[in-house]
Amino acid sequence: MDKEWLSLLTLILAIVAMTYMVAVGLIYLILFLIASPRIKKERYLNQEDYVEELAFNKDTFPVSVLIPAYNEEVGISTTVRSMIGLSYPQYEMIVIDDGSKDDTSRKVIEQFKMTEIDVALRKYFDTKEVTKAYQSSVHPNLFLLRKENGGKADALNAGINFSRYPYFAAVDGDCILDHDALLKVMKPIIDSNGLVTSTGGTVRIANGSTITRSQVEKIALPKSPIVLLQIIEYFRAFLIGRLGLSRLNILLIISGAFGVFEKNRVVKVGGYNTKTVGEDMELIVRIHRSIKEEKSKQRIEYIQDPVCWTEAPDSAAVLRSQRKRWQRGLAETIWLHKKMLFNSKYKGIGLFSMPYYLVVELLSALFELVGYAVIIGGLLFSLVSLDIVIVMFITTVFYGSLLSSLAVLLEEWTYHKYPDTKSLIVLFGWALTESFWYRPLMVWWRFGGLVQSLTKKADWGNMKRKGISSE
Amino acid sequence: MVDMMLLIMGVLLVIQLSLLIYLYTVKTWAIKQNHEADSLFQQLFPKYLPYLTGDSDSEPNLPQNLKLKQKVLERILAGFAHVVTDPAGKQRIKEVAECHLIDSYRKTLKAGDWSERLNALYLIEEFMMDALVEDVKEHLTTREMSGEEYRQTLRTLASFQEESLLDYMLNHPNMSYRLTKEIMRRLSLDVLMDLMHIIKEKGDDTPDAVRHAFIDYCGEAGYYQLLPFIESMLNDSSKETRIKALKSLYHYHYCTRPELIIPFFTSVHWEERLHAAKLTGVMNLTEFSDYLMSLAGDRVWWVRFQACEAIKQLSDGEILLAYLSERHKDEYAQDMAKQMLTMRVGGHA
Repeated sequence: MDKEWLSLLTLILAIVAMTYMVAVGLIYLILFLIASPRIKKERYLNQEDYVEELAFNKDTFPVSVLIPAYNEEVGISTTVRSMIGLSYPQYEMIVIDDGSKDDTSRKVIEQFKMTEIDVALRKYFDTKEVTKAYQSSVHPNLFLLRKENGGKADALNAGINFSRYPYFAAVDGDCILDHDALLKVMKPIIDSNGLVTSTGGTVRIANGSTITRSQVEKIALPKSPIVLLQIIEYFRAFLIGRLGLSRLNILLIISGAFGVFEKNRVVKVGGYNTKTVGEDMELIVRIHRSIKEEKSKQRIEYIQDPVCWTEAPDSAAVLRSQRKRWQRGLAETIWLHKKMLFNSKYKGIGLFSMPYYLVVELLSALFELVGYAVIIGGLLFSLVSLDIVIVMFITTVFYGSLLSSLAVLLEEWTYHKYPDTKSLIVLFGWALTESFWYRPLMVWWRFGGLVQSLTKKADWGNMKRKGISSE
Repeated sequence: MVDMMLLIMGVLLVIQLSLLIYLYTVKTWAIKQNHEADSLFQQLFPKYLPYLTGDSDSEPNLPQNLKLKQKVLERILAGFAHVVTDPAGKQRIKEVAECHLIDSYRKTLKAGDWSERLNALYLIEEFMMDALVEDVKEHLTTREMSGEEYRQTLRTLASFQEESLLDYMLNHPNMSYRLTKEIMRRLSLDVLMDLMHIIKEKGDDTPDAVRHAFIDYCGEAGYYQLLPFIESMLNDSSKETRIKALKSLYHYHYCTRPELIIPFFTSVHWEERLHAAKLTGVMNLTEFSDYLMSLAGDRVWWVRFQACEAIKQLSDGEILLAYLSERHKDEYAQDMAKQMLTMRVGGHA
């Protein structure tokens, strides 16, 4: 009798998990159908000509590039050097050392010949104390702020206080930007005459590619399976998820690695929230919220061009802490703005976007965990028929791999692509293995992050950098 | 149910395999095409260069394959266009482009997809193919366009000094200020003089975007023939127009009668005080240093910043800033002066 009940319960759980996976798969498929025409349309566009007008135009809005850094001594010089080479008429770069315990500041001061300056700071936001400020004697538009440790959000707020220009770009201290990255992400803002208030670009994983003196010279795949799967995951998240949502103007994430914001709007909503680890997403949600509350026509856009390169974790331990942190950030943001959930006042954001991030991005760990438990439990204890287990197993395999394949297709239509056919085969091959090892790992870690979000406090998170550029 | 699910999964597998085969085939073909174009370019460019520079009268043979020919020739011409500055060289580019590419671009404008049309418009402008001016005009009037394609069509016509654009701008009051200026950047001084007369004649009936873009652009271009008109705009009743005139003079780095700036130091609008300070700095008007000293304690941070930056540009600026940092009655002004003393003026990449 007990076993009958258990079997029935397992069967119900199996059907719920399967239905969930099919539904999520369909949502992604719809997002793919929304995103793909845009990428296909711009497939053969001459990218250089497309932004050339902005590069020499005196009316191109000036931008402050903020680079928050905490223990980034390995990559900070590379990142700053990639910024110095940006093709943009007027910009300043502000490195904010958030109380690093390593030689981050010393590296910047020595590499770029910085001298100390006095500053008359405006205070849009209260932050931990800025102890010293420096300006480069070789690049007058490069500054360094040293401050007491307060977290990434606090560092960005300090950078906004110091910045002079009407738009700012937030760039992670371990990222490298393409030389025309700023032009590309500013183009929607400029073309819309300020109607677009924030933009983000695609972040690509640099592991495996050849980057010399902060310039991407050859794009190639890494050897590490864990990084390869992250590459596929990024394609799916950016080219399908974000672009699809952006086209509906309900995108809730501009990657913390690289995004551009209208300063006035950010000041109006109160800057970055220092009490969450998901400060990038939380800020976007607040911007959306204020746009909707003001009944403003402003919007947030995402561009599909891969313009920002970052180093992905290549060890399970680092990846685990990264994913747990992301999951906590997502949970905290949804909890902070739970009023928006299913609230028609916020239109697409309240009725689709927030529920999507709750059910698809946050709770998927829970549903998928149930799915795996059913497969394993069903096989071990014969609680469900073998047919059901086989169907679930195949669903699980194809659920991820088809979407990954579609993401690879979209990647093939973007600007930077892998230069050989072998890469395609490798990506497709690894996409098929995703469900056997990578996805279960992610599910387990994200579930851990979900649990942690109820207990832990915010921090930067740690990753031992190797650096992605050679000299 | 199981059978149905398995059938669906089978279909998905077939889709995935088809996708892989499609991608593999397309990529293999694209790599081959690019490789062919690259090697042809390497071969042809050194041979074609003497022809483009006028050192040789015989044109090297181009590939028979039309697509390949277009691809290689565009690369050769674009590469040459980026380095050539003399009119004769530009004329040669135009002649070669019009000889080989005109039919292809004409067809593309009519029937190409969005990115092909846009690429064609960029290159029509870059190679100055004004033989296509009527096609581009037709493109503007017959096709429903928005965004970059619309802007590039107008920019291309402006590059050809198309006078009908003046009427077009005046009759499209919703055209953005930015785009209006992009058009003006491409117009010759003669056409701009015509526009100035129209603006004078029409007065307040001129669309704001056109008037403001014109005032702003005059300074950017530095045409001294238009300076009196810009100075006359300092007395305009519209705040926005006066600010644009001050900005324009800042770009000129010049003003025939500096006393015209004085009323702006005490304007109720902080933007006017800011631009007056900027202009004073760039023109090194030491006789106005007292005004700047007073603006260093302005209630608006931006004005304080600009006033101190302007003081720094004066010949005795360092001394004045040192005095300000010690003696100014306003603490904010002292802080700003200290910042300017230690900071290099900069920010332009």
